[in-house]
Amino acid sequence: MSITRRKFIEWMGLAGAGTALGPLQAQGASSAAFKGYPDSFGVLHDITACVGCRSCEDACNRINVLPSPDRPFDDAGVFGEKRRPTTKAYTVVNRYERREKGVSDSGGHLGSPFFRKIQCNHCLEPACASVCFVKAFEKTAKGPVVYDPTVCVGCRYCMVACPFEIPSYEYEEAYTPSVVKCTMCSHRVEKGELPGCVEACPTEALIFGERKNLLKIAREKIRKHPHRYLNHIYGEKEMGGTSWMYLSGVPFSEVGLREDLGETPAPAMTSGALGVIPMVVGLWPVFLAGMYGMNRRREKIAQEEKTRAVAHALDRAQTQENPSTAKDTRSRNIGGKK
Amino acid sequence: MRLKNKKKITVPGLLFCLCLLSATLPDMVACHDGISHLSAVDTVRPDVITIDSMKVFGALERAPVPFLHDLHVQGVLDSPTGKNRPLKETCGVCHLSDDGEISWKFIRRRDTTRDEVRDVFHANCMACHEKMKIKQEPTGPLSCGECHVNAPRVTFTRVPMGFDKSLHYRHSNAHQDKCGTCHHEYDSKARTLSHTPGKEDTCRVCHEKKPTTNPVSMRNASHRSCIGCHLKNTDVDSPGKKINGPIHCSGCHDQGTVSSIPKVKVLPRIKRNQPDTVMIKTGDVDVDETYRNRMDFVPFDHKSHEIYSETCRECHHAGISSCNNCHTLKGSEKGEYINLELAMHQPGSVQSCRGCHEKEQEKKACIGCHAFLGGDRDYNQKECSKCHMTSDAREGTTSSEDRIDQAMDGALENLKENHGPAATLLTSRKMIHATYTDAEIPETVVIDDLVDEYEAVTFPHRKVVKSLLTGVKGNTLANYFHSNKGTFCQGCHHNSPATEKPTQCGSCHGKPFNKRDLLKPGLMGAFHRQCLECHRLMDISSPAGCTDCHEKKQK
Repeated sequence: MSITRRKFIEWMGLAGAGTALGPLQAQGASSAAFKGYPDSFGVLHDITACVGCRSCEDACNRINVLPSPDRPFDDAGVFGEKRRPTTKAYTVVNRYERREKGVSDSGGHLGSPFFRKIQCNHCLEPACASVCFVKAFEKTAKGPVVYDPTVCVGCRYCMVACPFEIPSYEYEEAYTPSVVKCTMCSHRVEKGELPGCVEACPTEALIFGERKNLLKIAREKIRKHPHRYLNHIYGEKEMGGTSWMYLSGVPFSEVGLREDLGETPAPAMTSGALGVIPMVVGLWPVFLAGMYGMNRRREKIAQEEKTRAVAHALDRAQTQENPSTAKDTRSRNIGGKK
Repeated sequence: MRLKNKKKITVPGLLFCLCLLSATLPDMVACHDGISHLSAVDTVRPDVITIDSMKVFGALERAPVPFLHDLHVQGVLDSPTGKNRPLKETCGVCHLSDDGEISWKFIRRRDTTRDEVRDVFHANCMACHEKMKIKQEPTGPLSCGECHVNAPRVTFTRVPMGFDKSLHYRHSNAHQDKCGTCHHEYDSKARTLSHTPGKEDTCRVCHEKKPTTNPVSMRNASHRSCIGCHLKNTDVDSPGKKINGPIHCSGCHDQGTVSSIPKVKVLPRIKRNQPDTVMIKTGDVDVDETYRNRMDFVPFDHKSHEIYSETCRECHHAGISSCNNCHTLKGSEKGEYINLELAMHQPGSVQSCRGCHEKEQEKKACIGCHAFLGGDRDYNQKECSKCHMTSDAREGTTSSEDRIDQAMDGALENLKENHGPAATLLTSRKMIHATYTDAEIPETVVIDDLVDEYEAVTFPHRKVVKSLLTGVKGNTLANYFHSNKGTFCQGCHHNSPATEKPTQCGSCHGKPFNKRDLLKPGLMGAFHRQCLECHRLMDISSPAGCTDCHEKKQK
């Protein structure tokens, strides 16, 4: 099969148009317009109401059948350090001292520390899912971001991508290590039950409900107690919105939440660069095949021209030397060459 | 051996005590004798003046100079010549004066030209520093970069100075109640200062915060008057160091020094012909029908409120006059269109009655209950009459308009006599000092609705009620507004009618996260939130853990 230049340009044009349309659609789908699944669930964490009893950690441990911790759950000594979720604890509570002491007359009550529970925030458009090339992470319609260990290849891109540094990895597992993070008790939520931590929280510092209702509750709390809360619901817009949201009385950076994340969901940030990949993948074979074809054709023509020229030269030489035998010699030569 | 050891401990101990004494003694009297306790090594200080005078002539060529004023004043006072110089001439070393009017610029009266001003600083600063160096006295920088530093070692911090009642009394007492020593009015035609007794306002009514020339800014006025007077009241012409009042920056603007000024315990009232009791009138003379007052006037106990506030301007702003002069029913330009209703009821403002009363609720004894009531409450109509009092005697016999007229007359009379309807109404108020009798208050309540992981709680109900009541004992605000025996119960039994048997928690709180009642916590949440939040806000350290309230259930 031979490729003409005209045909090659036609193919390239078609391929280019096709791939150029692709990323446009991808970007459209991943723009900030996605407001989460309707009626999906979430949790509102009222940091001002958390008393640091660690009942949530206890419940999480029991419900997810995790190994018993090094220190018991009623040991307040763990607050000495800032902890992160691990493969053995999907959630941890940290203590944050108040930077400013109260100026109120009674003074003392404003000096007590804050506690914040840390777990997967179950983003509406999760960064972990967007970087996973085997689709091990999925944002379910009910709200939880769930993980499928059977397809995971252990690249740990999810751990790098997560802006909240949540997923942890079973480094100690030799054969089947997997990524571990809070599941928002998806198995319980599907059955209509509460996540373990929420059920255990004695002060209702964790409020479970439909995300849209949680936002209503949060706004009402802020309206009713303007001195108690900052006018900001963390997670309403951060990273495009999360299912787990927070209310606080002090800047969120003081309770260990990043305030530099912006409102763009993670997939929207990478879709531009990732959109180029189909273009490369689609165009490259066509381009290379074309180049190969053109080179082959040029070589073939050159070969033919060369053979013709040689034959012609031989022919002429023989006619000059011995016009009668010229025809035989030529046919023998060509045969010998083959 | 033993004795030796003991000596080793006691000698440094004694030395330490001596050091402490010597360090604290000057501090305690610092405010009064005019000695600055700041030393050259202090980095956070109130006496940093950033010299950037050249700014008026365009962009600065070198970094501005952080100048430590107290250090220089002390240097001038302590120098051999300074010790023999009359104190009132101390400022004259660096500041020129005309007829006793000191120019606060450095050895000049006004900023003339770039070169001249620059030379004033360079020539005079350097000359003095060099002179001291020759005499081998401790001195200041002598090279460019030592003054013009890009990253100053010192940071400026200053507490705003203001007279509280105690400080005001110390001054008025020292001047035998001659209010005109400080308080004055400016006659713009005669260009003179005069004083009318009984018409005193606060300084801020004329002297504004922003830089002004006529009248001078608050900053200039206070520095000129206060320091001027403090210097003047020293032993005239004597080289003695007895200074009556601070002349250093730190004397007025350093937190430690200011709080060490002794407070006068028993304060007589400020004498400005203010009434003991007064009717808060509407003040509008020709009001149209729309803005006619329909409420009963509020009798106000001015005398008692003087005890609660530190300064007159806490309520009166800068100018001292009746509220309704500016805050009319309709709102006026003078009152920034904050009408009388808003001026008296605006939450969050300490100058409004309601705002200030709500601020009182933040006190430790009150906040346990009041924190749960929320800061956005609508007016409780039943409560209006607590302040807008109706005299039962008048009611029924006269029309409301007549009542207003009578009240107006009464209020005027009130100003003179302090025995008007306001006083009558105020004395007729009933204070509730107690709630139900012990027999009526359950001693303990067993909370066993949620027994699961933990055993039931035996809640010491009567003990809690008693301790809350003790907290507000003698608090007239609380006693007057907790108007019903059952009001007090409503602190915890919120949304329940004020009765002897209020609704129990479980009557309203049930399963959590009810979609139809988003804001109501479940029973477990309600218990823990109410108990723990109240304990935290009232600074009650217990419980430290779960088992302080309920035993863990044995399985």
